[in-house]
Amino acid sequence: MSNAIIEARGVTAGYGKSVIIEDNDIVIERGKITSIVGPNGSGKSTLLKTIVGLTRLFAGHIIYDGHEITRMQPEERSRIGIGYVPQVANIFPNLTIVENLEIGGYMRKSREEVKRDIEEVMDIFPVLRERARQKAGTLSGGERQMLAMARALMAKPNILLLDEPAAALAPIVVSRIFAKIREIVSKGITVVLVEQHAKRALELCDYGYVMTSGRVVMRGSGKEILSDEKFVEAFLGRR
Amino acid sequence: MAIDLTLPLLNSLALGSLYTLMALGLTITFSVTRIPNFAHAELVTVGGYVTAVLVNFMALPPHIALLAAFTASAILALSMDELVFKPLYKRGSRPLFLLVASIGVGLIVRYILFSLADATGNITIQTNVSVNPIMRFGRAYITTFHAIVIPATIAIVIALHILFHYTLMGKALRAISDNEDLARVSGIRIYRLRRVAWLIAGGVAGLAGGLWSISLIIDPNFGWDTLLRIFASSILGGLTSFWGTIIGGYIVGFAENIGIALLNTWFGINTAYRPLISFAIIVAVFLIRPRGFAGIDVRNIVSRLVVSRPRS
Ligand SMILES: Nc1ncnc2c1ncn2[C@@H]1O[C@H](COP(=O)(O)OP(=O)(O)O)[C@@H](O)[C@H]1O
Ligand SMILES: [Mg+2]
Repeated sequence: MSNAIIEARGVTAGYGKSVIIEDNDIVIERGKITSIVGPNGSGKSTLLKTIVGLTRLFAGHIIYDGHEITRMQPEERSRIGIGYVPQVANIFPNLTIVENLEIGGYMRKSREEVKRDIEEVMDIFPVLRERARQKAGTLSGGERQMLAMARALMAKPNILLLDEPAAALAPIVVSRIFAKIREIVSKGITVVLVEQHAKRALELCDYGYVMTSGRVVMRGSGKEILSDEKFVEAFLGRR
Repeated sequence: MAIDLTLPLLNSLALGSLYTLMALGLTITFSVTRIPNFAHAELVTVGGYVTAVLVNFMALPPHIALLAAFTASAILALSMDELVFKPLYKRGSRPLFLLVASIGVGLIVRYILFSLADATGNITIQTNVSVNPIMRFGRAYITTFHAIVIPATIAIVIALHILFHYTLMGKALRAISDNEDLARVSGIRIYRLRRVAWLIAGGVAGLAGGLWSISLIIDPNFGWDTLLRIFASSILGGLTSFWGTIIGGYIVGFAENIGIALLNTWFGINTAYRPLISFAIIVAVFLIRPRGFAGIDVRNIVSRLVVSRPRS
């Protein structure tokens, strides 16, 4: 099992005094796409936040690259290569687009390389170049999502956790984002994709988890889950 | 009857500059830590006392004394955070608790100052720097005080603007202000960086107190007596806006001096009601324009003070 980049064991976490996710085991394979699907409110976002250290952990362990990170602060986790794009509030609205990208590359040593990478990002997303000096809060939903992913990639993470990157976006934008995710994986970055839209996430992934009410209730390859009768009935509806 | 407004105009500019300096620190620490720091008042007072004592009793030149005031208040601000606010914040304290804690911290500093000032017979003191007229302006004089305070404010505003917009550290501070969690997952060590915010806020407040002690007889309450104006300036800018705070500082300065002069002449309102102007400004902002000038909803921020923050 040395090919796991992240292992979460018996993870129980939440906010304040309330427990949201309970006793979950998750293994993320290096270089693969792992999808986490489940209905709204099932604790998918909370699980991702727990991996980056933004929730209160009540029990369990999180291992990254063979090291225990259970008690590590979020800023230190990002410094060892864990990248994260939150579902909401995933940009700095009062910073310009360039500044958002600079902060993305905050912990990198070479400012020259950061500059070069910002140029490269703006070649890929011309809309970001056009509006480079504008506040990021002025971007549209799809543009924001592009910026949010670009910001996280600026850090050159080993693993990228994406929380519903395609939610509430026009189909054409969704396909661009999914293409981008495939490109990220092809560069050797491990991707964890949280999606409410179960079908498209499971078709894309190597391995998947299904959550309901704060617990992982099903796991397997994307194909296995998609062909499971109970899953199809509960999540995709009979057609 | 024509009113001569030249003196109130000059006072507005000088006091508006001081309010700006004091309020900028409040805005900076609020932006980075979300603590409405009532102990900011005492940072001003300490700066005033350090300046006065060093100039009057140790015969230090004023600019050295002001530098010492900056340093002393910067260190005091940092200590407040390290000893009280940061530990509370890390434990997940609500913003309202932090607000109350800041009132307590201010009270402690204020009474230590009272004891020290009383023991040494300095309950009131003024920095011994001669203020000389430089040139006539209407029926008033532009003095060396104006010639120090206004350019000093401009210089500090420019320096802070450069810090926040042209250095990575400054951009990181703005990032924390915008979205703390996202700043953390971008690798920003927020608990280290907030020290910078406290040092700047305290230092600039101390400097403002020191400058003011040249033209004002101060006592251990003088920062506290000014706190309403400081908050009014910051709230006019929506509590987190840099330029909004600067505009706010001058609005308060002008409203208090020119406003009261006009109210006095036209309606016979006693100038002793001057402090009520800041209070009126705060109420008016909350009622009419809760977003301040900068598009930030002050009312929402205030209501969030009583709502729990997730613990992490
Ligand atoms: N910051 C928070 N504080 C308290 N409860 C929260 C917070 N964020 C989410 N929750 C609660 O946790 C539960 C799971 O939410 P979430 O993890 O966002 O689910 P999902 O991402 O699967 O839709 C919900 O009931 C939600 O109300
Ligand atoms: Mg979610």
